[in-house]
Amino acid sequence: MTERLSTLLREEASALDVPPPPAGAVVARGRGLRRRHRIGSAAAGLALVTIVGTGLAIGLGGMGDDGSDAVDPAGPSTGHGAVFTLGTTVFYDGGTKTATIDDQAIKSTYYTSAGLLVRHGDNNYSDGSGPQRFSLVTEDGTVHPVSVVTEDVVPGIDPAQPYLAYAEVVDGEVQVVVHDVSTDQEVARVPVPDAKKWGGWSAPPVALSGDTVYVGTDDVERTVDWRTGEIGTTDAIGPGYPDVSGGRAVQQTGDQMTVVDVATGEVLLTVDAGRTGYLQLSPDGRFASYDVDNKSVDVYDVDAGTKVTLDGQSGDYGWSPDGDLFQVKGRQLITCSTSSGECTTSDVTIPEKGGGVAPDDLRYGNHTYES
Amino acid sequence: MASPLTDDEFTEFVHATWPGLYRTAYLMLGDHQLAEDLVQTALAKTYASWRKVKEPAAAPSYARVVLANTAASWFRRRSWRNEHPTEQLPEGAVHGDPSTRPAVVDALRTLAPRQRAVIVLRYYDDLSVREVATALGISEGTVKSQTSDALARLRTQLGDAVAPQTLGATHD
Repeated sequence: MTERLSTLLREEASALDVPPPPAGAVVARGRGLRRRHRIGSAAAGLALVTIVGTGLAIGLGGMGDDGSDAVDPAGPSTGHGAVFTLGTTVFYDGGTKTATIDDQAIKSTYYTSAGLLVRHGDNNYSDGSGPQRFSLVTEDGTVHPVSVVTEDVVPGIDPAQPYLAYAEVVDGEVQVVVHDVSTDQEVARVPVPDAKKWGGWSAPPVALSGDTVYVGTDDVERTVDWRTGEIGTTDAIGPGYPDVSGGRAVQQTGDQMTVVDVATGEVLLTVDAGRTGYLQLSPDGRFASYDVDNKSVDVYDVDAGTKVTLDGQSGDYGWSPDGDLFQVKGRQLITCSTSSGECTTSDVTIPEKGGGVAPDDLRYGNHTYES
Repeated sequence: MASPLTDDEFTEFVHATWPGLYRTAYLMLGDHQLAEDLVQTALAKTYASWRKVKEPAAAPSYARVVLANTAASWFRRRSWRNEHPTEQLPEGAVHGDPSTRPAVVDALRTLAPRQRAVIVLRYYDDLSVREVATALGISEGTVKSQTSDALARLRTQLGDAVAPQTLGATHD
């Protein structure tokens, strides 16, 4: 039906006067970009930061404008469609595929470019209550144990990257650790000596966005460039629990809620939310949901400023890796497009129980379950 | 992973892929200088991340994805949105044969940047919905809705014969 449009586009393209390729300039610029990678690694070494390797397997959407990060043409490997867990069973790709975690309970899941990272342990509690183990579920359903074990910490994940960031206290000093879950190797460990007080966890909660780890301490929000070891602060987000998604965060000024670019402070979206309203960002920061009342939720495309309205409240929904919303109602999965607002019920029937010590515990992908 | 390339080999790669990438970039951006900048940037990034190219045959596709992804990051900038607003053609601005080339270029200019990129990737580069979503870092649902909106807009400029009523979900 659109052959004529294709033909016209091709005619237009073929008639273009294409300039000669500046191959020398391209190679020189490419060399410069590659050199910056190496300089970054060397600087990290000089800063006496333990950086183990510099491998990257970043997903689409996470590439910096300067090309310092590269894309993988295969795209994010977390997949598409709804992701949720029931007991110890992981449902992904819109509930059409499953994997089983060999543990007592699942605590939470995180979207990464290497697959779905699952945090699990002896129970389904997120805070305290014993060791937090991790496994990576890749697109073919294989479960890869990750050697990290934490206890009572809040990890940080950037969906466009294969990294798990977390903080731990070693000999009284806070250290930020970055672990590549695709290779199961620690790639950075950066001391943060000024981090002294934080909320009730065993180490400060963190968020990861690009090369920056946000460290949630009580006095000020600290930033750690884990590649260079550079430590700074930011006032783009307040002290305490760092809630950063795709480099964006929600701020409140009076009755207005805004979505800001944390790196630049640029306001990307403003919503008149009243005193009690709250914006919730999608894992990649592209969308923000806002409860209009207890019956409807507005979903904003942060970049376009457009919105669609869905029934229910934001807490009823989970975010899929590709930015749509979904909910499990009864034994059915309903997915709602954040671009059109259209909701569809899938043919998948969800079982009642999924194994482990909390077999009927339903948890949505990438949802925060910390108290 | 593809074997490391010498600079001479990458220069050959640039010569081979430049025309195709330039045409895509021009259709997306509608400006020769910006198109040249975009292709240069995409190829430089491809050079810097060559180790991620799984095999030589995949390299042109890789470069095209990098190009689309780079364009998408440009579109996300507020400065881009301010400096490159959508140009709204007046009703009936297209006279004579609506299938002439200037009409197509003018009609593309009425689209928002991301809509324009979606149309070019789908109907010029012939990528599937999923491939476009991956290349631009947006959901498949967004690709479909943007396609539908863009075709509706093109229809007003070019007529049903060129942009017929069709659902964005087709052409997978």
